[in-house]
Order: sequence, then structure tokens, then C-alpha cells
Amino acid sequence: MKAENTAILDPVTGWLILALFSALWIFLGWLWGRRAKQLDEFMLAGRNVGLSLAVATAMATWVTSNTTMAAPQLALQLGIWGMVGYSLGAIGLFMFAPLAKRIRELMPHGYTSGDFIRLRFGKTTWRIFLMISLFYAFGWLISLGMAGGVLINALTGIPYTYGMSVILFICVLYTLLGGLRAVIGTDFVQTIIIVCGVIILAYLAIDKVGFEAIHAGVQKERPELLNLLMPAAIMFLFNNLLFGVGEIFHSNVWWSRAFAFRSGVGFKAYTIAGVMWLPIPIVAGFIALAAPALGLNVPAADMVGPLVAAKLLGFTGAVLIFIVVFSALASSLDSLLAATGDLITQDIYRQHLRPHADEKELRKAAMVIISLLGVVTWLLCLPRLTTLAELLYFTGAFVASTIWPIVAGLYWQRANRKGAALAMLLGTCVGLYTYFAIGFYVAALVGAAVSMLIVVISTLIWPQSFDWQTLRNEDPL
Amino acid sequence: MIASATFLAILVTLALILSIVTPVLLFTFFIRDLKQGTLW
Repeated sequence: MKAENTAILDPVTGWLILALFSALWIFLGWLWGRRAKQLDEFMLAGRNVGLSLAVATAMATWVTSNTTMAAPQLALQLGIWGMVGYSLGAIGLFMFAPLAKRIRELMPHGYTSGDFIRLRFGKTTWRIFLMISLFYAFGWLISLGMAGGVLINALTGIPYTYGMSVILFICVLYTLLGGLRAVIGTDFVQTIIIVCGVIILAYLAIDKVGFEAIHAGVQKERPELLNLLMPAAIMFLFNNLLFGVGEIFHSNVWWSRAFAFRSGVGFKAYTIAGVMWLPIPIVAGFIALAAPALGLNVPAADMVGPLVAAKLLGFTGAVLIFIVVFSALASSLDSLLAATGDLITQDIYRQHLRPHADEKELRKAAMVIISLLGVVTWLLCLPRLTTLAELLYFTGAFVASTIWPIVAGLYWQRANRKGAALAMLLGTCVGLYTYFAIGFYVAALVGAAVSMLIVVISTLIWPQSFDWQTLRNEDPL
Repeated sequence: MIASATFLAILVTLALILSIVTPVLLFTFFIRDLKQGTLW
């Protein structure tokens, strides 16, 4: 599909909005991040983030372009269960709430999820975990970068490469300016914009088309989307639940926040963020169901959200969804850049290459690594390889295989090293096999099931005694 | 089993109401943190 056929904003308007919001993010990033001179301030926002910013950052990071663009895509592919299934991603936030509390208590000096795996399960498991975690981080980064390019191209006709480049550059710049402080500060503003934008879009969709017309349109042209017993959609629902749990449990994006939130805030913040996130994919996904009623031809499924908004709401709708998705992209991209940068700085640069590096050197290294991450992501985003949801769910087997080793590692004193390593390896392999043999909607489900069996059985057969104090005493720096 | 228009309307309306509460709560928390000096 040519962008000229779908764009309802002219490129000049698109560039103006990009410039305006880019300037805002950079200014806010500088404003909130200017005190982040020390490594702790840069990487973990001083470990003293309060409830309001904590809730907003957990929510904004989980509301990604994948929520605002892939939720409509999944609604169009899997119907009602597609959007409800996507909203079950919130379960990951709920379930991480007690973990965040435990992580903060067990590791008051921790920096990354890698620190925990290394101290709890040893170096072999830690390296397997790092490979999974970094692979996922790049998958997510590429997915976000591509989403930026796709959205800008669909709505304004600005070439994919330019839009993707601008979004990446802006996020790298303000993350460099203030580290996690800049990320968390901008997340608050971005959350408000995203939620208000999605509410307005959904309300106008209901007002202009109406539930009856949308339902009749879907029933006439795509009746399978209303089928509450659609097998693939039901599998997707459970798969997405596990995918969300796996992503949150293993990713340093969430662990770095657990370390950064003030003591006693983590549990409340993740629980409230889960409640607030739950309805967003339903509201965002719903507008895709208006496509049949509007007689829209949607040749690329991942463009359905912007196309419906543009068709329904004209210029204002296009501007609004453009701002909403730009905010969603930025809020997740910046978090991922900062957290992946932390993981590489702490677990690769310091632990593998420069064990005696001081804080000053690590602060500089963190900035270089974030810049390089931006460049590598940009290179990988240049060819538009696959649709957004496919890329995202390819990584499902990887992340789901980490759920049980992490939970057992945090709560089960007898969980052992070999079992954790095997669970991650075999869970990933079998999950990937089912991804190709059956479909994207089962990879996480199978990966998590295999991983669980291995962790439970290996712990019962070869129990290991672990001293929790090992985690409390260790100051990674 | 096919979802009815009413089912769709209830699902989306509930989600919309829950979404509207979010910015209100966030601002409430923000002002409280600001007053207590517990923002960062």
C-alpha cells in the first residue's frame, strides 16, 4: 500500500508535530535529568521514586506502540479475544508487584536483573539469561523503531526511514541527557497524553459509527471475529498472558524500576499500573472493528489502527493518534534504551570486560552504550522485515522460558543452578519449535510449560541450599 | 458462540470508564507526592 493513499496529514504537518513533541521530550528530559550526575542517579533515578511517577512509568512503559498499533491489528485478526487477550498483558504487572517488593528487599544495592541471576544461579545460567534478555530487548527495540516508521509513513507520507530515524534519535538524545530520571519524568506526561488520546478516539468512534453499526459490519464481513470460541484466539489469550508475564519478569526494564522505586512503593505502583493498563488494549483494539462498517480496505494489518482513526476522525483524529502513538513509542523506547544500556553496562562491560571500572568510567560507558544501542537498532530497523505482532511474538518463547527460573529463584531456596539453565534453554527451543510448527500464538505457552516442568522436577531431584544473604550483601559496584 | 452487540458495548464501555479514572488518579497521586516532597 502506498502511503500517498492513506496519509491524511501532509508531510509538513507531520514534521511540525514531530518537531514540537521532540522539543518537549528533550526539554523535559533535560529538566528532570539534569541532576543525574552520579551513576545511581543516572541508572536508577536515585532509588527514591515516589508513587505517582512510579505508577505512570510502569504504565507508560507497558503501553507501547504494540498496544496502540498491534492491539487493533490483533482485533482485526483474532476478533474480540484478540483485544481482550492483549489486555491480559496487565496480569504481568499485577504478578510482578509482589516480586518488585521482594527484589527491593533482597537486593537493596542491585542494579540489574542480570545481577540477580548471576548471584542466585551462577555464571552459566547468567550468560544464558543475558542472551535471552538481550535478544528480547533488541526484538522489542526493533519492533518499536519499526512502529514509529510505519505510523509516520501511514499518516503523513513521510518516508518510513525518516520517521523511524527521528523517533530513535530523539529518544536516544533525551535518555542520554538524564538517564532513568529523564525517562521516568517524561513517562508521566506521556501517560496522560496516551490515556486522554485513546479515550477521545474511542468515544468519537462510538459517537460517529455506534456499537450496532460496528457489530453489523463485522458480522457481515468478518463474522469469525465475533466468535467467542475461535480456537486460535483462545490459545492467543493464554499465550499473551504468559508472554506478558515472561516479558515483565525477566526484563531489566521492570527490574531497574523495582530497584529505582522508593522502599514500599513497588508493590502499590505495579498493582495500580496493572489496573490502569487493563482497559487500554480493549479501547485501542475496538476501533479496528470499525473497519468493516467503514468499508475500509486494510492491506497491511498493522496499519489498521491509524487508518480507521484517520477515516473516522479526519484531520483531528490523525493528529491525535499521531501524538498518542508518538508518546507511546517514546515512553517505551526510552525505557528500553535506558534499561538495556544498564544491562550491557553492568553485566557485559563491567562484569566481563572492566571489573575494576569506577563509577565515573561506568557513567561514561553507559552513555556510549546507549548511543551504540540507538545506532544498532536503527540499522536493524532499516529493512521492514515483518509485521509488528509477528516480531513481538517470535520472542515469546524466549521470555516465557525465564518465568519459572526467576520466580523459583526469588522464593524457592532449593531451586538449583542446572535446573534454571536447562529450563531457559529447553523452554526456548521447544517454544520456538511450536512457533514454526503450530503458530505464534502458542510459543510462549509451550515455552513456559516446558520451563516449569524442568524447574520443578530438577529442584525436587537435586535441591540446592541458597543463602539469601548472598543477595543482600552484594554491592555490584 | 457469536458475541452480541450488547456484549461488545458493555465490554468497551467498561474499559472506557476505567480509562477515564486513570488520569484523575495519576494527578491526585502527583499532587500528593509534590506536597509531601516524595516525588523523587
